[in-house]
Amino acid sequence: MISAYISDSEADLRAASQQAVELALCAGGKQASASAVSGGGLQLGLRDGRLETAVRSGHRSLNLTVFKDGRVGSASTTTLDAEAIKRLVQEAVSIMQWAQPDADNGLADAADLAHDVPQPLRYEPAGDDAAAMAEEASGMERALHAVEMPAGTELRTSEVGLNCSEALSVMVTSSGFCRATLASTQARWCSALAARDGAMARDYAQSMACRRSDLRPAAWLAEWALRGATGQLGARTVPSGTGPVLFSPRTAQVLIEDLVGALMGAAQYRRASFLAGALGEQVAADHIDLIEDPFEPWGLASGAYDAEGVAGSRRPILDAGVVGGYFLNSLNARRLGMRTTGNASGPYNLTLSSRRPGGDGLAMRRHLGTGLLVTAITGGRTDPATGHWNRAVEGYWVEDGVPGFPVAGITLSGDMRTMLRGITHVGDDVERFGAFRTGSILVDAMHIGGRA
Amino acid sequence: MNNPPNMDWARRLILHPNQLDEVELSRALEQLAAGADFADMFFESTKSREWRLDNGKVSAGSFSIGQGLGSRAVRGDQVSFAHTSDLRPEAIRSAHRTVQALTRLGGGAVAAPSVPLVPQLTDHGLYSRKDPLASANLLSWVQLLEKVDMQARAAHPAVRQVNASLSSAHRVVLIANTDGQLVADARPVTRLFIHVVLERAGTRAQGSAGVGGRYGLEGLTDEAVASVVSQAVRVATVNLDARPAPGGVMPVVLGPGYAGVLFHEAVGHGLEGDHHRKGLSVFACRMGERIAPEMVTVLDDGSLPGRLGSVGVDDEGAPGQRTALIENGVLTGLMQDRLNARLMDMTPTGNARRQSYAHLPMPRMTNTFLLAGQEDPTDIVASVARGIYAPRMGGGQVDITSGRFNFTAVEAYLIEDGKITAPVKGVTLVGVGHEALRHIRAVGHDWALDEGIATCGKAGQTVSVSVGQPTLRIDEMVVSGSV
Repeated sequence: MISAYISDSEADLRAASQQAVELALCAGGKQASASAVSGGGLQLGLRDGRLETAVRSGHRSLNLTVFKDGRVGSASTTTLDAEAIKRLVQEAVSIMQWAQPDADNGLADAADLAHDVPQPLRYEPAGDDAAAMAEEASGMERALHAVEMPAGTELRTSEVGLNCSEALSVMVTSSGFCRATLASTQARWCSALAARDGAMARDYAQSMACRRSDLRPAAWLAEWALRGATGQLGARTVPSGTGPVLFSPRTAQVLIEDLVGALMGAAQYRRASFLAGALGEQVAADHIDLIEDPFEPWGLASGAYDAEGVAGSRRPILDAGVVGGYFLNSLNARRLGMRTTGNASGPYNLTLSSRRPGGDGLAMRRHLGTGLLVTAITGGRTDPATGHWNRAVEGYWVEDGVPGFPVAGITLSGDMRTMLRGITHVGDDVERFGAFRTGSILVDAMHIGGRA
Repeated sequence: MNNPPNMDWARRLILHPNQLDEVELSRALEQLAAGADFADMFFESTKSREWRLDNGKVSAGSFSIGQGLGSRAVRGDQVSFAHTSDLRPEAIRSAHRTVQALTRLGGGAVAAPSVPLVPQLTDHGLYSRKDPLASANLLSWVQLLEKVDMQARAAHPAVRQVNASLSSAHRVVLIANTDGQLVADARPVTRLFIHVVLERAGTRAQGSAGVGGRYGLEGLTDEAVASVVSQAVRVATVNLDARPAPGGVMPVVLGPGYAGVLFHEAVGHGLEGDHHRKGLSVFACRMGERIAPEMVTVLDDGSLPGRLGSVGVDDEGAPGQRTALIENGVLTGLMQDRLNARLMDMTPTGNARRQSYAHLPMPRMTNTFLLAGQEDPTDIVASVARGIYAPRMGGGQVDITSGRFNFTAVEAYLIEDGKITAPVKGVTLVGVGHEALRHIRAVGHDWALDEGIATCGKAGQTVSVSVGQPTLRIDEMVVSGSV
């Protein structure tokens, strides 16, 4: 056994996957791929210094996809015994037989398979000592109480949480691919409910990484959560109007999410994208780069191969604002007459940056001058087809580079293409959220909807 | 028949294949409850099938079968929990040893009494007892999606893409707890979801719609399917012609059905027991206060037949029931699970729900709606000089601590001089729940629930719910448009 969290050996997972693929071929499939995952973790949650929840998780699954003449069927199970695998194959094959053929269906082309692309570092034993985790949680709680509160403001409720988990996954295809990946994740978060004069506000801070040493320290998390919560007390609306908007690093990632969504293969071939067919086109300001890197050591979205066994590459998604590539799996690549980019499991690590350094948070607020600093996005959506961007937001009104009063109960709207072209600065106050890394982003003009 | 039908399902799918019986469960509970005030085991066996229509073809389908156990021990307000997909007795014992160790983190231990389990009859009749996946005939699934593709493309010449998914699941749960309760429930689900993209002269617009319920494929009648297709195409058509919405403070008329998500967000979440116990809700100290006009009554009702929010028994084994949240404008009720009810000295209300065995139960809404009023919906629109008519919403969020909510409309029009005129896009409504309630001016008689695809997210867990309301006029709503 690899660790307390992974109850199956690599050999067992490989055997189950191989058996599923072989049975699928015997049952009439021409091609098949199977992947098996086994993992688990431990999560502790404390409220006001007391242990509230302690959760030990454990999961395991086997997925099978089988193809024949453009027909495809897939099935999954959480039990790996012989009986379950037989049932899995039977269900996948019967779906395949009834499905309508689509010539673009099938395994990734054999030439694209990443048999020996080196694995980026993703695994550090996550640790399963609950008592040690409880002690760490208490330390986070103490860090929250060590933050100095503004006069008249109380920390009414605090919550801290820790999670560590591990997973082992194995992938086998009838085209000869067979590899395993072991990965760990660590997460820490805290939230604070601050109260003053009958008003309450809550904020949180979190950090997630593959290994402990990449996590933000407890004091940093405590400071962020408390500053966010106390800062929002007494928030009010502002008059409607149009002006510059500075997105904090946490909120700026939403812009990257929308951009990535528009460049996904499925959105492209369905033309349900505001960037339909935009490859090679200047869509963002000419100082903006967005780099994808599958191989970054200890990156949360690093990987040697995707769900089809194909490797990604380090490449520009935006190169001086010009679209350098889409996120494609084999199916969508074939539909678009292109080649897979190894993104069958989604985007790898993405970093947004500017060729024109924007400076730290302070410098970015000076660039903003007078306008809205957005620190939280509380709702709303982007219409993926039109790029119409509309969100409910919270933040601060900044006057001449100095944050003034907190703002809430307003919306912010714009058009994604106009916003991307209107990015004037990206800060070096860089934060990483999952697969995305960005500093704060300053957009020259957006519509603020508040009181008339 | 010796056993209630739900218990039959549980024996066949969960107990027998894993060599489990009442005696073994009782022993396992005893081990789990060491050092705790209360303990429960939640078994689940779920089968599901999905077909997808893409690019004019029903070319992909998937099937999944999953099982697992979530075991919980509660001591005061501390919860220890472990889950596993391995249901063999030894794996369960190992999971329970883990829970015991986690329970000890919180303090000393007391011996647990042994628990004789009494199987309960739960023939609630709220939903079909049939397994919606039992039929081996997959052709009818493919044909239904082909019909969707044909109807959508015939509905409008600008339709470029039609995507749809048709899914069914059969979820059997078995709950055993240290009160000696042993109860099972078999929950069927079927859903159809459609997404269309229209393109005309370089302008694109999308629309989506869906329908679902606690039934099998037979629940998707020709009329239901035709209605979903025409809704999705209509929303896309309207948005193709829509102009930017005006912003400002104005009256808003919400249509019947899914727009009731307003009450789910602005009222419901603030009345969940855990939020009250922890003092997080803006409504925490306002029970018994008048917070809305007399004509406003909001209910949560887990006992409506066929609805995806309904629970024959909730995920702790309590029957689904009707709870008045606001009665004639007065704040009256909370939604509770067992843990929070006990800590607040109240009674559970059948609102304990969880996404799966791998998640802890929490107080959650079931079917939450505003009751019908007296007024004619046409008169309600006619009463507005300048405002917004929003028949379809795209969902919303609330901050329970401040009460601030926001909703985005996916279909909206201007009201000018009492008449519905131009379609507008980018309408987001923002406000504070308890303030919006005070500004309700008219409640229509055209009450409806949503079409059956509403889901609710809380603390990372998603469950199916229903929302509903009649046509409704709210004044002084902040509409954030894009001009």
